[in-house]
Amino acid sequence: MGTYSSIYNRIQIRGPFDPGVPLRNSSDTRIQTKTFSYWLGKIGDPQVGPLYLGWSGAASLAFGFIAIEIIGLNMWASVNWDPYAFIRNLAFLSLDPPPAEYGLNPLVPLGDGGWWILAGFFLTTSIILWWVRSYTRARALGMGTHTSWAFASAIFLYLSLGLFRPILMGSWSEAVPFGIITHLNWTASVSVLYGNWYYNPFHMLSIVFLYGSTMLFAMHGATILAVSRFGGEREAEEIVDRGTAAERGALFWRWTMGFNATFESIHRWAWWFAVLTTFTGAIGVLLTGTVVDNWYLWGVKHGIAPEYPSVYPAYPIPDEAVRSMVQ
Amino acid sequence: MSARYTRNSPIIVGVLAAALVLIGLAVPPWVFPPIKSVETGPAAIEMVQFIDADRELPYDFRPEPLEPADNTDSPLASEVYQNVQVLGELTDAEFTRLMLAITEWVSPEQGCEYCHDLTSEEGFASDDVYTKVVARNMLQMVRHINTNWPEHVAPSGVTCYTCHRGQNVPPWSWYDQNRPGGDQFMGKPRPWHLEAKTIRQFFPTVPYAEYLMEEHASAQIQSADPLVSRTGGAEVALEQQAEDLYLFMMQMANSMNVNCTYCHNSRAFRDWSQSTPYRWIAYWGIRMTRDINSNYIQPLASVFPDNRLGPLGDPAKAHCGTCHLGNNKPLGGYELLDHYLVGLTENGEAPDPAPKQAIILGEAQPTAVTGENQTAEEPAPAPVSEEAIEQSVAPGEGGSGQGDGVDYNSQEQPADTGGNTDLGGTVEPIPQDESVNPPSSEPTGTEAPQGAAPSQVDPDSPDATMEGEGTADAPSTGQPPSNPLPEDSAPARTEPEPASGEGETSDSAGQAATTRGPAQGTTTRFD
Repeated sequence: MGTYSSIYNRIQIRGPFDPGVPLRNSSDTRIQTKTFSYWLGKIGDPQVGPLYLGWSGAASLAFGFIAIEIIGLNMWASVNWDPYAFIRNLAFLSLDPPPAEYGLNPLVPLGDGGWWILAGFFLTTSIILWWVRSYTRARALGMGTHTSWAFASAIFLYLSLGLFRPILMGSWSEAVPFGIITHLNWTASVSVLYGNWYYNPFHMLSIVFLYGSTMLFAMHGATILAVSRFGGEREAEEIVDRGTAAERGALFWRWTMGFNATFESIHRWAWWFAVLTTFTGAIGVLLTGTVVDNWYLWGVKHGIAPEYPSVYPAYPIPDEAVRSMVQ
Repeated sequence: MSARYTRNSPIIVGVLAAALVLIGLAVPPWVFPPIKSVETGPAAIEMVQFIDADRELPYDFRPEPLEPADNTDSPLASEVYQNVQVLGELTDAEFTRLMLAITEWVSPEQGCEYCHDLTSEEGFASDDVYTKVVARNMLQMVRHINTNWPEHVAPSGVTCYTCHRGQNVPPWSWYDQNRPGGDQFMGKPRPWHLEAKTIRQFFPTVPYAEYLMEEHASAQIQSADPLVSRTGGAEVALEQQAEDLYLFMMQMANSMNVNCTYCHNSRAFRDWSQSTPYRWIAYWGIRMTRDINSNYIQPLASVFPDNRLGPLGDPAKAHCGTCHLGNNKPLGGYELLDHYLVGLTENGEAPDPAPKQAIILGEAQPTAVTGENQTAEEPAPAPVSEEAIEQSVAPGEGGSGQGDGVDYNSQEQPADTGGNTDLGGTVEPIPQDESVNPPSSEPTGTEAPQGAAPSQVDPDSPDATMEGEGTADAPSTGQPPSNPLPEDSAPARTEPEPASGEGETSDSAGQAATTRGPAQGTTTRFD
């Protein structure tokens, strides 16, 4: 047990190959890869396999491959198929949605955003099929479906950005481009366009849950490692049969924080924080441009944007710079 | 059992870590301290500019002005030379001196023959070389800028050297480009995508054409209304428009080595009431650039040879960086023009600093300095007037010495920056001739600063629009009534009289300070 008490992982469990629980009748057969990986063991379980594909996994991989191909080949084509330029500029290459004049028309010329619609369709299908797989595989193992619903929350944010909000706004051009820098540019531009997204209360909530998730994760991981010398790594057992590891961990947090979660509730805290990160974010996305046009002014209206002292005297503002005061 | 790994892995990890640290130290172009930070807004909201003391700006050499010309008994240039269309009123001595200066500024290597075909029969009078035609046009442009755009260029004004910096073609400029389509990479001429080094070089220049020509896009992209309008009309621009404006603004920041908060409070970019006065200067700078691009540079498209034209057949045009080249004041405000006023202005006067002065100077300037060892570099605070105290807001009672690391120096006089390139202004009032009547036309139409004369900003300065009400080159009179114009003159602010003028001054300042918040309607327009 003592080897768990260092900051990094020094042990690898090498037993006989574990074939896993018996399959349910509805399943395809497993792919019986039987290998161990030393390097995988450095960060996780060294056992590789058995694998399982199934119809949803196979279809998801196929659709996902097509989506990545469409995006990647479009990017490559945009640098005239120059492999050096492709790699050098990869972060800046982009596959953009159709311009505003096409509205929600699904039949857009390929070079004018049609490829973006196709890539989006294949990518979305792939992601949803992978969700189906996460659900059916959990059921096949007799597990709960908590992971699937957490994944669904992330998919809801993805669809809000790329599908739901563009539909509400009536134009594909509202969607996010595929591209590393370009999707960040989109984020910065949209934030400014709608009057500073930091005043969007759902964005605030999303940040709270995001940072909260990382904090809870660190607190929990640290606690379990710290009490592993008392058998704390058997968390699931100590949920119902509280041992000295659970008691020491609980006492530690009461001493340092005045309050402690239990070995059971800490997992619900973490799950809800993670799920609400993307869920509240998605609500903030869907309200932008459909209900609220300027989040900063919304914040002023509702008293959450403080006034700062003016350090400059008043100066004449050019006429052209001021929009009509009549609304 | 595990001894095999524990002996080797720490060494491997250690070597890898050391290699990574070395790469991290050696490869990126680090900027070493001290880095000076200057706040441009209220304390603690991080409107701050960072200045690296060791930075070296490109093309930063400052040429010495030539010896003054001896004009005694010198005939006019038009009497000595043929085909002198712009500078004919200069004396021959002055004219020759200016020509020598221009040669030094623009074609130090090629000399006179860069523009003059001395092999032809006409000699200096020949217009055969295209550069001569371009140079004549550019001379008119410089004279136009210095006389008609004082809001932006006062007090230093511009010369040929402001942009040219000893090069035949100004080092920083831009060409038109097609908007990149979905199937191409930003539509720039190759092989820029293999040479670009900074992130900004990866961005297209389409937005320059969108905002720097007289046919320009609107920069008002945000809604003035918190909620979506009940009629459903779009009050927010398209995302592409926002991105273009963002790229254009990045060009601006890059050109001046400042960040967004030099002009804007980034929490509400559109709100003038939260912006710094530098935004006012930049506002007129954009309009000045539109004026010269559309009226002076674009018409030369037919004059330039093909190798000087862009891929779409347009001449290289100006953006903010063409003059600024990384400095918030070109050449640090070096007043080269003062030595060439006769040829490089339309009226022989330096650009009138009065409008700018009313905006920038004679007011309390926030000069919060953070960090160690920075105080010594700051100018000593000038005597503080009551007006300045009233207008500035000092954090905490007593200002400095509170251990918060922030000093507020409310200034009545412009800071003496000692010729360095720091933020701030060094405008001095220049005596004006009341009979000045600029020969070239004022900016008109939507480009014109609307419906106002300079006298609205500074009643004591001469009216630059002698015979008209329609056009002007000063900021508008059409202010919201809650944002009154300063009633006192800029010189009065600089040297306040203790007697009657003082009361008037503080009245106007107090009124302005209390009512400036809602000028943009951020707090008062909700029903």
